[in-house]
Amino acid sequence: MDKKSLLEILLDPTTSDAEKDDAVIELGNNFQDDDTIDILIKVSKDSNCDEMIAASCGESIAYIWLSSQRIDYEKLSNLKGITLTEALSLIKAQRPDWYKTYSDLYH
Amino acid sequence: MSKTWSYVPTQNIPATATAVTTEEQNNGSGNQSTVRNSWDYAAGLGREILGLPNLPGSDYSDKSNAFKYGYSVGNRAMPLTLNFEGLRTPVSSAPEFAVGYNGTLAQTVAVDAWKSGYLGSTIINASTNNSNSGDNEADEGSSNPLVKDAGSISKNTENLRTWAQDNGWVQQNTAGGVEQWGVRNADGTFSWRLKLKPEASTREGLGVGSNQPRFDARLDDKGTYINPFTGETGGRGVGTHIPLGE
Repeated sequence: MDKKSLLEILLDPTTSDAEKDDAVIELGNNFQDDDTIDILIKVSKDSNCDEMIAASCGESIAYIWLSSQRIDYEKLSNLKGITLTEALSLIKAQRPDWYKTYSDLYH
Repeated sequence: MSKTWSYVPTQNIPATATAVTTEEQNNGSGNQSTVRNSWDYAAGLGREILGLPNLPGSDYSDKSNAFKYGYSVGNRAMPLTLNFEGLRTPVSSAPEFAVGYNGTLAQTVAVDAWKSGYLGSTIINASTNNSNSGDNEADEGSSNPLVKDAGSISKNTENLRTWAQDNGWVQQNTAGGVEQWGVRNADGTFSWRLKLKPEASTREGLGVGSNQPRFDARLDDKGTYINPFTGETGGRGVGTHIPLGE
């Protein structure tokens, strides 16, 4: 499995929702770096992105931050809709200190 | 964690308790003089389940999540947290719930626990008194599978749909046809719990788990995944790309 192939799957208009969803999950599980986070953010903000895939993007983004023990609050604050909801839920449950910082900064 | 389920004393159960509606249970708006809200009945159950009845600290309930009972002590940054999350409203018989401790899922159990508030009974051994009955052929074995793996796509799909319905989840399909079951968040967004992906992918680049009919399942949006065929809970690896059958 390589990142390039997963990106091609995400960008291919003939890819099914199930395949895109799996690609987002695989990216989060296997490529835990800033570049992957930026890709997932971009995918989630695509107007054609289904809510299911946007939700998986949020979960994968949070998963990467939690795994790497590093979070980017600015990027978190720029997530939208279900992507933000999913990311925040995971962070709130697993890193309440991060959630508190986020809340202090943006609420 | 392995624990023998035994009597859990219910607390402050009024002898005159009468049936209340689901909304009343969650809002605590039943007969306030005699019937406290269902979360009150849950006090102490979580610690009992973990075998830590004397754990210091305070009980709390998060009523923003209708299915959550918690116990915590410590500062906010590093709380000692125990989540007790039913997939249905308490008291009216949650067939299953997850128990987490200090941020780590301890176990998922299928019991008739929440009836204790009104019936004055107990948490019942999930392996011998599983209340999760119905048409989904839920197993009653000791490993706590929630749905029987029938081996065929059609039967498994049927059983998983029944499991989802039993949990009170609602269906919402993607525009591309992926069948999802889940709950509505307070803000109106959909939070998935079950995704059915019956078409095997032939694309190169995806993992082998995608090259088969499959499904994903989770208990919440906090990272608790589950394989309903085995009852195993854990992270994403447990609850994604589960074979749906042939």
